[in-house]
Amino acid sequence: MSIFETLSGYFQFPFVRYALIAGVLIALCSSLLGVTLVLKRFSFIGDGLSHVAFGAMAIAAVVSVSNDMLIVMPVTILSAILLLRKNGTKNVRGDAALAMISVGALALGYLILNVFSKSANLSGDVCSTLFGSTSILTLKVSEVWLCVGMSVLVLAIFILFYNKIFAITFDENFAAATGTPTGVYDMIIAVVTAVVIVLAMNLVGSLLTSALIVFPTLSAMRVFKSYKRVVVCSAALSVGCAVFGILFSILVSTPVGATIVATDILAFMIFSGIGTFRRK
Amino acid sequence: MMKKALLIALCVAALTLTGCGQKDTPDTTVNTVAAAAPTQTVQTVQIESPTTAPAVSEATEAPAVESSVTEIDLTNISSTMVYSYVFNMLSTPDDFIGQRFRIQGIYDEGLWEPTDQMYHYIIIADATACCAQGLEFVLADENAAYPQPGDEIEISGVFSTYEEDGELYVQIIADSLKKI
Repeated sequence: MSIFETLSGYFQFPFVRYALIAGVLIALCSSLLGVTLVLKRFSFIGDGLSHVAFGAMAIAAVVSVSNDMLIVMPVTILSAILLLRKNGTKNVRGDAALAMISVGALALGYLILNVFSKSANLSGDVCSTLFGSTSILTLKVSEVWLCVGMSVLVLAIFILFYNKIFAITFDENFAAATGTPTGVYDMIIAVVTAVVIVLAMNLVGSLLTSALIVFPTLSAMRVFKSYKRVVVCSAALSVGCAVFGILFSILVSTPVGATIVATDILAFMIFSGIGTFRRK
Repeated sequence: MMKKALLIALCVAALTLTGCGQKDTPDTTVNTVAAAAPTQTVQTVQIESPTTAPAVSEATEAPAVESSVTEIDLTNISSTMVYSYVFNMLSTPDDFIGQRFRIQGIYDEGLWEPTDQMYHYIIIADATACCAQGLEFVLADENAAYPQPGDEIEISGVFSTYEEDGELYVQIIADSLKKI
């Protein structure tokens, strides 16, 4: 049986189609967000927020909430706003605050799960949440629709506020001086970041979310220099790597999250080579 | 601004269309599961491209009767797919009641003291074997012997649910079991 015949057979399963739909949307939103975050030097925010989301997920699992998004999303959004806001004087510096929140949430989440969880396979559940081995293939229809709705919202925000996001990304002070309410847009970016991080955990897991945000942008920046071209290339690359990663993992039986990240790394190496060749 | 709003509207319309289509429902009608399942002619359908004729092998356990059930063979797909499929079976069992499956996994059993009954499972792991789930099964032939815990087995049977102490459980009523 050829690979195409095998894949054609696999597409008969609805959960494979759901995984591809959700994976494409999550990868697209992550790449758009990644351009802004990388240029604003917030590359590691994905890691920190995903750990916060893991901690919130642990609490939701212990209190047996019917839909853990009711706890995870608000907690992550609040953390994003606190971490990404600009403030004058702080007792704890931004990067140190991120480190504290990140490791603290991860450790406390795992501790809570160990002490209070009623799961029959705790280590498996934790492993799947942290590394996204099969999470994207076990989505329910309601979760897919939630992903679609959130992705449409994120895309709409990026399209509607493209020019303002561009201005704030490159020179926030100048944007503020020209009358742009930078505080509002910072908050919008923070909320969008939190939403995308929570969605991305389903695709690649908590520990690998940063890769989905960072790699497509960095790969695109190796070849293209204009903002618009970087955004378009990053989006196309992210979606391509996500689709390839999902299909490869179901064909060859590898963990989905790690396969997608490995594909992103390969793409980065290829684009780095192309960029080096073009400069010469 | 108008152009952007139009672009967003087009994206929303395109994404909405992806949700159109018939709900995936099993082809087979829901059969009332009876313990006497083996007297059926079974067509094993392997996962193939819909444009080619599926390979069919018949495994007749007993004299054939008129009804035939399509068997979903989970033994020739990747472990990632098997784990995901079984996960979906356990999450939305109503979508799979009455369907026939062929599954490979590790046998295990456990005595549940409140009911003083022995329960039998086939354990299916994902690609890294860090995540695993068990699917309960019973042999249709009550006199048949179960394997030893830890044995790698392959079962073929019908997916069903049952109630016990007010709780709904899922199981496979297996009319064929073999050690691998």
